[in-house]
Amino acid sequence: MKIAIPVDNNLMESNVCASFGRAPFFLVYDTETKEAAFVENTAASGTGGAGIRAAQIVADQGVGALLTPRCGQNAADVFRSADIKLYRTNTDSLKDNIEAFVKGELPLLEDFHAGFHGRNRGQ
Amino acid sequence: MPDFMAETAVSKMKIAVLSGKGGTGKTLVSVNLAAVAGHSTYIDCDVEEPNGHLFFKPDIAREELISVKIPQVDEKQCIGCRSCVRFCNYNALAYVNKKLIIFDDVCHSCGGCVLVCPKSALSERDKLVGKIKIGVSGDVNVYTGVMNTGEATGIPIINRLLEEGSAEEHGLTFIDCPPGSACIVMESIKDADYCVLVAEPTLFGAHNLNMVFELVKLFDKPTGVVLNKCLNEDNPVEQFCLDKSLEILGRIPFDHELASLNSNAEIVVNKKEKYRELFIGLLETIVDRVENGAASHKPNMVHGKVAADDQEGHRMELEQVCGEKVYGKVTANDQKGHNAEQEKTCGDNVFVESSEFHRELEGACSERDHTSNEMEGSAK
Repeated sequence: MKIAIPVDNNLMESNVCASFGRAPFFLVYDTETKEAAFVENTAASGTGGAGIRAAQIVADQGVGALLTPRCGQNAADVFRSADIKLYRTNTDSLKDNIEAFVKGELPLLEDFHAGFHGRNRGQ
Repeated sequence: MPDFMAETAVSKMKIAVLSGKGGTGKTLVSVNLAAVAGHSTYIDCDVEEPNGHLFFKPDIAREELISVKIPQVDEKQCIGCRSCVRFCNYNALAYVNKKLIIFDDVCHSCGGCVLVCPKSALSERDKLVGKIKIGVSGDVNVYTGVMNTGEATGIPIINRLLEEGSAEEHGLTFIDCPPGSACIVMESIKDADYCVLVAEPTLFGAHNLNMVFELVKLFDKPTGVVLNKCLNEDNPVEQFCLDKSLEILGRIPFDHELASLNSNAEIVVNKKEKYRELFIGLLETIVDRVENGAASHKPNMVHGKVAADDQEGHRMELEQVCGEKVYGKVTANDQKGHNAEQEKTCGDNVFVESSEFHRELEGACSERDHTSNEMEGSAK
């Protein structure tokens, strides 16, 4: 199965990125062939709707699961439509999370935060 | 009372009242300015929490529902080319599992997706976002915008409000802006001839004032400051205004009676002569600055005098004279432990001078909390 993880750098030693929509890269990893590729997140610098576009990018990689510390509601809607399951990462380490996922130890991510777009009232 | 109804260019001017945060007194200032202006127009652009109507209690003559255009897809026509997904600058569209997903909240209603669709699979539908209410309160035409709870932006409502408010010329227009310096504020001030920035006498107040000052500078609007909740002590906003050559148009004292009246949704100028005099003075100053445009940015303005001497410990003297009336005189000497003198006279009516006021201030100082003391807060 191909999985995706938001990462801070395009290296296997990189940490999991704290943000999904604004992560600079996504690791796309095949748990069977152990092939790894890094995809640039072109949505990261956008002014709004980054989560939606990032989810589109990840979905277009043909992954079956996303491992992420958190995820916004809009991106979660895209993943639901794309039948991509979301799992919550438990450490910063890419390798540890992949291992935990393969062993079936990562919990499903089921709480999503609201979008931030257009909600800046300036107070 | 000055005749603002005279058919001059000034009588049709639009004056926006804004501030860096909520609760500084935008509504207090704009409502009372409109009330003393008499034949005037009041537009409440704070569509997330409009409260000007609580003061004016207008008879509503007309309501209009405001909706925006949101795309909808005919799935039978969609071929999945993603032209719309690529086009949308706001990322309001996604295409997964051979299905187009549309995010209403993210859409800015530009209509571009409908135009670029090669199969005409997209069309537009109306989505209700709020309403505007047009009413009359005495001599003031009152326009109120109300955004539906949960909507992402009030901009379509503000645009329609300003359009309606400009359609019928009814004296000076006062635009009560949303707080902060976001898109909705920019939309509210874009047609304003003059911007009145309301600020609290705190470091936080100076910081918020700076944010909103940066915004009006960007729009190149003539600007002045009204200091609200003024105490007889150091005010960081005074120094900020000096540094930025921003004119202080007037000072509203920290006054329990005023706050109490305002909290009970009373228009203070209709309740007490001293408040009426204060706001008439403020209005006269603003009208003068609107007329003389460029002069408003200069610290050494025609009607005022500012002298600062750093060597003597920031000894500052501020004197603002408008016509024959002395509005405010403040002498603060940092070295002598905030020894300050405040004197305000409006016409024959001595406004802030009495020792009684000073005693009130001392009492208020010890128990007050700048951030929770929101004169307009309880009316919301």
